[in-house]
Amino acid sequence: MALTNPRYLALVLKKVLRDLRQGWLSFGACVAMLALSVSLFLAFNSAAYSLKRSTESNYQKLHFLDFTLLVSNISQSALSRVSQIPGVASVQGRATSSIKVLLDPPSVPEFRSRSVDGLLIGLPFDRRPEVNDVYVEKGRYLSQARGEALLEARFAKHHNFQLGDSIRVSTFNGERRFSVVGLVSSPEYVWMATNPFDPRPMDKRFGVVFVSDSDAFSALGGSFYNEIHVRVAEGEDAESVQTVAEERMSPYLRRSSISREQQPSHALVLRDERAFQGLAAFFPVVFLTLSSVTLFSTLWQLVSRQRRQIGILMSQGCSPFDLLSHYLILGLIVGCVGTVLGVLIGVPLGHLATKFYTRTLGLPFVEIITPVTSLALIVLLALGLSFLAAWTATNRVLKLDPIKALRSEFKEGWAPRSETLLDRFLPTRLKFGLRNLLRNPGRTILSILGIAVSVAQIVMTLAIFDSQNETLGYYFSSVHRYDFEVQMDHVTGATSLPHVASWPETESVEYCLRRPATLVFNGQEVRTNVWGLEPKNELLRLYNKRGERVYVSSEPFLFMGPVQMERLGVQPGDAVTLSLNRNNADAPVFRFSIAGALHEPLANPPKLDLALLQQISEKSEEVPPGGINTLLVKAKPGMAEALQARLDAEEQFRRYSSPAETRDEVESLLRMLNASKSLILAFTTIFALVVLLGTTTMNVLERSREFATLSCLGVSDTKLASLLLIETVILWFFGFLLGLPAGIALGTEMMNSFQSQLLQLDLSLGLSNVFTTAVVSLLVCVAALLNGLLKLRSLPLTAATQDRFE
Amino acid sequence: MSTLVRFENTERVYQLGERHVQALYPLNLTIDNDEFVMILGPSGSGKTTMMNMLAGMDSPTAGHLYVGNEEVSAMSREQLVEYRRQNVGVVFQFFNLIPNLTALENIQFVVELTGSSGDAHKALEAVGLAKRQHHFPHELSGGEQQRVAIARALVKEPPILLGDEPTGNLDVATGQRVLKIFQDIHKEGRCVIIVTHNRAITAAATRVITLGDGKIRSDEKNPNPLPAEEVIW
Repeated sequence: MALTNPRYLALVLKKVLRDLRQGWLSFGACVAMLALSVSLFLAFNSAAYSLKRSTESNYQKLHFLDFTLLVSNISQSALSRVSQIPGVASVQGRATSSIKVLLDPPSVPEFRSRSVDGLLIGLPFDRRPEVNDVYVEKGRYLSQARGEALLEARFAKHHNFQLGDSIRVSTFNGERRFSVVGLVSSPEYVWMATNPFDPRPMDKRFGVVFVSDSDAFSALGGSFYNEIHVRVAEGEDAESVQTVAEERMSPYLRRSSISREQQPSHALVLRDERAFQGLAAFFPVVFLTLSSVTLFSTLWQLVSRQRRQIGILMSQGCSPFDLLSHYLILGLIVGCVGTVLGVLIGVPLGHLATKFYTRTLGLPFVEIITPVTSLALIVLLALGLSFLAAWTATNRVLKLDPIKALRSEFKEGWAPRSETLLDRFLPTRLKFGLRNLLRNPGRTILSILGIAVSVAQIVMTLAIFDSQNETLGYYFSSVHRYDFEVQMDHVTGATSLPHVASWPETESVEYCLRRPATLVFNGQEVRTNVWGLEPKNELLRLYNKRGERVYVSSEPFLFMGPVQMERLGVQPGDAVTLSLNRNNADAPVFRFSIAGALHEPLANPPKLDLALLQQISEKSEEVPPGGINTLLVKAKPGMAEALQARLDAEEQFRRYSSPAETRDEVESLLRMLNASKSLILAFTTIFALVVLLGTTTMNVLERSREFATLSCLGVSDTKLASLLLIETVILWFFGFLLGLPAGIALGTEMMNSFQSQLLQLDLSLGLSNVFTTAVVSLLVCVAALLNGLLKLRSLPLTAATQDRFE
Repeated sequence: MSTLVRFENTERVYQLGERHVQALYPLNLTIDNDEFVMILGPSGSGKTTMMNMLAGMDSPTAGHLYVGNEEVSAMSREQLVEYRRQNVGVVFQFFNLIPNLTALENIQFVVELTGSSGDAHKALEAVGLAKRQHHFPHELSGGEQQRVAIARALVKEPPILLGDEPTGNLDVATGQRVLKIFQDIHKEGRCVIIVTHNRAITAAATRVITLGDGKIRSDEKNPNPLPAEEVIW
């Protein structure tokens, strides 16, 4: 092989560099896309890996739990039953209680409520906890047995709590006041969440307050722990240790234990790791494909332009393999430059992304690492794909006949064997366009696939947007029709409450009762709230899947949406049992039938008739007859602010929320998702543009002699452009036809993968979005034609008619 | 008889890098509307440059070129398209037929795209290929393909028919048949200008202009052109 001859190799390299210089724009685009692909892969991969390492490091340094046992009132001495279990490294008893953190006056302007939910957690003041330690970011750790508090740092920042401030919390045993001595981060709240299925950020609406064990006991009204946190020794199987611990502590267990994977914060951290890995796969795949397609089309064009040159070299005795190696070297140079650039950009980008994300999460210990395997994988992949693209584009050199390469003949290609009957009825231009698609089937398939993939992505993205909007519209406009949902701390008789309905600002009021309940079906247990609604509920409406109104019935029926039904594994008509008092094992159990499914995309609690729930509550708990604890209030038009002021003035109504706030939260959560979808949309458009730009340009170059001949015969540029336009529209038509159902299928698949215990969406795609997709994709196709048209306009007629131009 | 083509100090220089290549030195020449002219010359003599300018595919770098009353050398890109549509029909050495259109469609296509009023069937009949109208180029012989190309050039009924080595890719018998068509077209009163390096076929023309190194070496009238079938090469 001549390549082993250094002199020949030097010449080849010189020629390759000149070819690169001549086509610097196209080759530059390939390098840029390859670099982007490599850098994004490395950045996201290293972010995912570093996030994992950083959280692990935090978990290790702060002794994060392996599992939690939820127990009822056990003493310090009972903890030894767990610590003696083989494989247990350390055990920490903890007293926790739900609280309300009082914010008076409201510290965040847009935050309407004057109190937020929170958790009071007891810690030993004279030593650091053996499990779930905290990292003191500011101030100091607890040093007094009473009156001091450590505040979760992000919550403190949102509500502007400083060291030395006083914080008031409302507990079961009355109001308490603590002095803030430290701002901390905890491995339990890397993601501030109390529900692993609710990814809405809770930093500002949930306050975690760490106090001494004595203060926590006092809030609970005893001196007992209600949680045991366990850390398993290195190398031990956490799951089996957990099972043994559950068995040993079974007399004390309130409910089943929680593993690390089920712990809300950790579950969401794992979700983020998966998301990063997903991004690490998606964007590089898009860019690698783009760079391969661009490299393919650039080299294809180069070989087409240099056909005669190849013929001449062949006639001089060059072997096709030597000639091919020249183009492969070119492809590899592009691959190497793109890969090296990508690595140089990707590594620091990954470090930046990790720093940004770990700072957002508030992780005190950060480890930033670029995994060597990822680096090796992407380098091999980038080089391999560049080589493959170069090979696919140029291997026809091997089959090229030197005589044909030298002779100026029209590009051979498909022509019908004979004229069909249909041909005689089709307009000539359309017939020409259709036949041209078959002239180079490979290119046609590539074009149609390029369009189809883009259309599918656009349809998928727009369909998800549509579904989101429809769901939000349904949820916040049709279902939740009140302005304020007032939650009271205790169940109260409606008659003892201020008469909200008679306030001048109030349009209507409905009473509700919410109770924590346990539902059981076929041994499957689900702990959830249940809501008692008034029979003719107007402010919290229920609908079935067909969009018809549904009303709660005085019969023992439970109304729930598909998400809850799936959690419990029930179908309409199934019988379930319901018990209200979770702390009392002897609480009465009631039988209910499952009513037809409600149309509820979000996981809302099951509903039943208010009077029925009130009766059950009276039998199960100590609640007043006809008691309620929630008010749904609708303000008269334009009087929401005034109504809010009224609510603020009433001590019992200080905790309220509004659907508008929830909508803001959901929309802010979706903003990130929508931004990534917009990115997908943009990349998709670029993808289609690049593929079509390449194929259209190839089309013009291959048929330059044909176009030049027509031009010589007096056909204007506009007419020639119209011919290309017809072909493009035909390609678009087939691409759209394929892409539309593919997009709907992709969207459905995507929706299914989003379905969770929180959310269930149905795919919907409006006609306007189908039209938008059609127009956008057609415009992209036409835009891609521009380069071909420019080439057409600048065709040197005298040379092109003889196929001599290069 | 009237002057159809007029070259006035027409010159063409190509700039190849830093090198000037004088393809055509200042040329003064007229061609009448009833002439059958063969432009003869070896490679690099300037004959193709001359034809390209006549075809409106290239423009002189100095001097003027008039066809009829219009100055082709001063025309814009758009005007040149119109000029090519109205005034010239070009026949190429390698036929340049569109492979996925039938013989008839190749002609119809040009009729449709140029908006000409020509009849594709008649044009095909004129070259004796009416029976082969639904055949694709790959189903036709070289001579038949060239006849389709001639029909395609003629369908617009241009006053000038230009041929760039139209017999260069054909065997003698086929070439004679094609040459005969050119003679017939000339007899119908059209100006035919053919560029060739084949001295033998010039016997069929009424005038032979010989070029060498971008200059006219000779310009001879031929009052008794040979019938195409007697031209041997």
